[in-house]
Amino acid sequence: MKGLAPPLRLIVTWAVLVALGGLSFGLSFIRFGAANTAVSLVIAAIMVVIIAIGYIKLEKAAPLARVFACVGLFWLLILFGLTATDYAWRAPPGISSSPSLRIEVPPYWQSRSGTER
Amino acid sequence: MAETSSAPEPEIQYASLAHQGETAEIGIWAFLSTEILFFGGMFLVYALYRQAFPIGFAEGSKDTKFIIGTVNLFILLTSSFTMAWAVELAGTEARRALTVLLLVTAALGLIFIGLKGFEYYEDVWIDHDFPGIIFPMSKPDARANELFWLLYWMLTGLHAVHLSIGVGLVLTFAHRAWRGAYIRYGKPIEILGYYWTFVDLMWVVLWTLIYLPGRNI
Amino acid sequence: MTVPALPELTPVPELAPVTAVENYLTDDMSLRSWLFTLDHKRIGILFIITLTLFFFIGGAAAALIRIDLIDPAGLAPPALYNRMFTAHGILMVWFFLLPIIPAGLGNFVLPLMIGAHDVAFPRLNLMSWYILAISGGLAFAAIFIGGLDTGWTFYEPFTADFTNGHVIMALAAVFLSGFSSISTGLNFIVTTHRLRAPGMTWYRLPVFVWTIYATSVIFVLATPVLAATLLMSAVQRFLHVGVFDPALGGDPILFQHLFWFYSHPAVYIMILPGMGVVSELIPCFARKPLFGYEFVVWSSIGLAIIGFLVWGHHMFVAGISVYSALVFSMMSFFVAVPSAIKVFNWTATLHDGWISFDAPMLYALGFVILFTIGGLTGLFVATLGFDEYVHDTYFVIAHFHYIMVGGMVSAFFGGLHYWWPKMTGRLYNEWWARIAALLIFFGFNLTFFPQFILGYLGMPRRLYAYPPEWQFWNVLSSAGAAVLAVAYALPLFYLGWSLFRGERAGPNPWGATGLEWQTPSPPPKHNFETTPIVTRGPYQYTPEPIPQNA
Repeated sequence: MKGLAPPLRLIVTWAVLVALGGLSFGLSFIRFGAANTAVSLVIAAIMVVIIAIGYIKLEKAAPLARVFACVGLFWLLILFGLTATDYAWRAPPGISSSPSLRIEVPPYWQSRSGTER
Repeated sequence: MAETSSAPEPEIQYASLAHQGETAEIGIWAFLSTEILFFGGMFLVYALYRQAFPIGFAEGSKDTKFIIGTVNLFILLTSSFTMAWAVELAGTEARRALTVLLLVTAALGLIFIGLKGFEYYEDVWIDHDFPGIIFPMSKPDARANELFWLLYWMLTGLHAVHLSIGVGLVLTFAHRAWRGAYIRYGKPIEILGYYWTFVDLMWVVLWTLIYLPGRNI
Repeated sequence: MTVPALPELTPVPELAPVTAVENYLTDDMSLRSWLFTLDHKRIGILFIITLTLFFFIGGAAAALIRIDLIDPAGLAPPALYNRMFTAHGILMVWFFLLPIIPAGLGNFVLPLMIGAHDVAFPRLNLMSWYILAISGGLAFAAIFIGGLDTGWTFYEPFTADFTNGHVIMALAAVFLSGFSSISTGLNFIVTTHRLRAPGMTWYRLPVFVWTIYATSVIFVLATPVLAATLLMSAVQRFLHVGVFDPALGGDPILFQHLFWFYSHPAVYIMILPGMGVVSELIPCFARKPLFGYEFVVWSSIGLAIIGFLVWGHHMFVAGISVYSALVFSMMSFFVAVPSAIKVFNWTATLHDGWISFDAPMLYALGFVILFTIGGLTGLFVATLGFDEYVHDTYFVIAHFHYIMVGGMVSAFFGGLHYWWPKMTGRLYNEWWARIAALLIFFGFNLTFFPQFILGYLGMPRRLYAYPPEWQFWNVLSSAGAAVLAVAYALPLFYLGWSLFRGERAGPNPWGATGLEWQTPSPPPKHNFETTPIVTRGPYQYTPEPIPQNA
């Protein structure tokens, strides 16, 4: 039956996604320095967009559905952006060099008694 | 089977079945936006600590099972393909093909979980990469390394939970599809497809964050 | 979209004095029909009953706090005191204030107000109640079997590494309750978008619906981040690893960022629905249209959005960068704009109105006064320099209790009295209700105004003992708490009495204009016999006396 065959759109989407995944896999072994991360993230973003359009057909979804998808991303941006205002201007977290401050308590899963520590 | 192959009645609060379907579509998207922020909170932690401890994170990532992770990526991309194909067939007479496609999707999901389980087995019993319980402190930049592995377990673990729920749903829907529930009304399959593909999409991001850094050291 | 095309706009029929023989309460009286109900009205009532229970447990904890603080040396053992304020915070915030108006009153009236037969996803709605009941039970169990002393904020690394107690159980309870918040919020968003009656355009929605919508947006967008944060916190405690522990490479301030990204917007969850209730009450009892409807609407949406941009003001002295603190401080000042718009609009609505001081109106007026005080002192603590001094003092305690208790709880009682005839079909005793409303207002101020002074003098929060020179103000505060306890218990009695002996209410005892008043009291199972068709905006009141029990 001809009507059962997958639409060309899905086949192309699948092929492009697999190719991009393979590309990202290969590129990760090459030394670009800091650009490695950037390249991999860009490829991931492209893949996400291709999935959203090719598989999910976001451009044909209800307008409100698209708004909701964007709202989630926008609020993520708020979370990252305003947190960055803090971390951009102060020392990043580091491993504390004064272990004497630390009170060592045996972890929960090691405690003998049934109650929580 | 005759009675289930007719279009179902809409629930009392809806004017029509189409009304109900579009409402469900909006509902799933609102749900997926919460999922973005759920994973997003952990992505923020990941981003900050990776910025703070680039070496520890690269060293940690180097020890992840790259081949399994990548094979799993391709498996999920394929499962989304079969899922999207199933969505095309929902609402048509192709009951048998729809059921088969859903079963293939679920099977791919199960293969993913199986491979993931094997990966977890290697992580714990062979490489001892489980933070807090068994973790080799001899590793370079061990504390940061441990943080990476903690995020690895949390992110992939939550993803696996989502995928397991997805497999359960797909199998349920396959059962209903076999009984002809989606011949007249295919919207539920579409809703299921959004969820499934979203879980796949999340794996693309996780794979990039978890497996790729530190490969070229 | 798929809202069916209108044949022609017919005027709303005059109020039909129908007394439904079959209504949602008498439809099926068995316990089973309540536990498996999909009816939003019954689910709303289940929420109200459950949450009121948690309110009184949390209130009992607050009573112990105030009893302890009568004596400068502290009457309770310090460990018990710490557990009590933690219990009070956790129960009141997550198991009363957050859900009470949206999931309780909102569940009951929102579909009625928009002319829908139910919410969009009734099963999800019922699930939300079960999750909340279970998680509330879990939280109560954690407190009952020994409690925890982290405070409701679970600050790190104390929570993970330095405290005893049933922390993981409490974290699990709060984590679970988040699913309830998300389900309810999602349900209301979709319901408001998709299930409005024909002719019910966005600008014809009552402000209550708008505020519940804004609240739901916060529920849906903020709660997942809290879930992720608490999960990491619990994992850190369980596995003894360092997500937020500085000794292990983590950053405790990051926990605060994530926590307040949720919990500051959550403060707006705890006030926006109250604003919605008050926006219903004031026009009804002043017999005037709401002044500046569009401004009230958009200031609600504005609050929901700006609420996400100010979380850093909880962390001014926690060690965030000064520049970040400046950004957050400035953003916090912007919050005052939409808040002030609302207060001015309510005041302008009252101006030249035909005001009747029925119990709901007394609560509404109390809300406006207390919210204004709470809001203005909010500007104090949003100021960087002043906050350095009053951070973690009773000034902050008084400030947010004026918003949450003076504001939200007053609004809840106002709404409960207002919609009580609709829910139960009975009228309560008006005089007792007025006495309770006045007692609550008086007791509240007596409890919390001294705390402003104490905070200004420097009394830190969360301490079981204090220097003797502050005893006068503490005793005043505790005396106010005693009044408040009596006042909060009063409605239990006269509302309970009205259930059995109260006068029967007509469909519209207040002469109000909303759609919910055009169906019998109590409403039939599916709200409306025929889907109503809306032809006019909300609050079309004309100055005239209220017909009592029309």
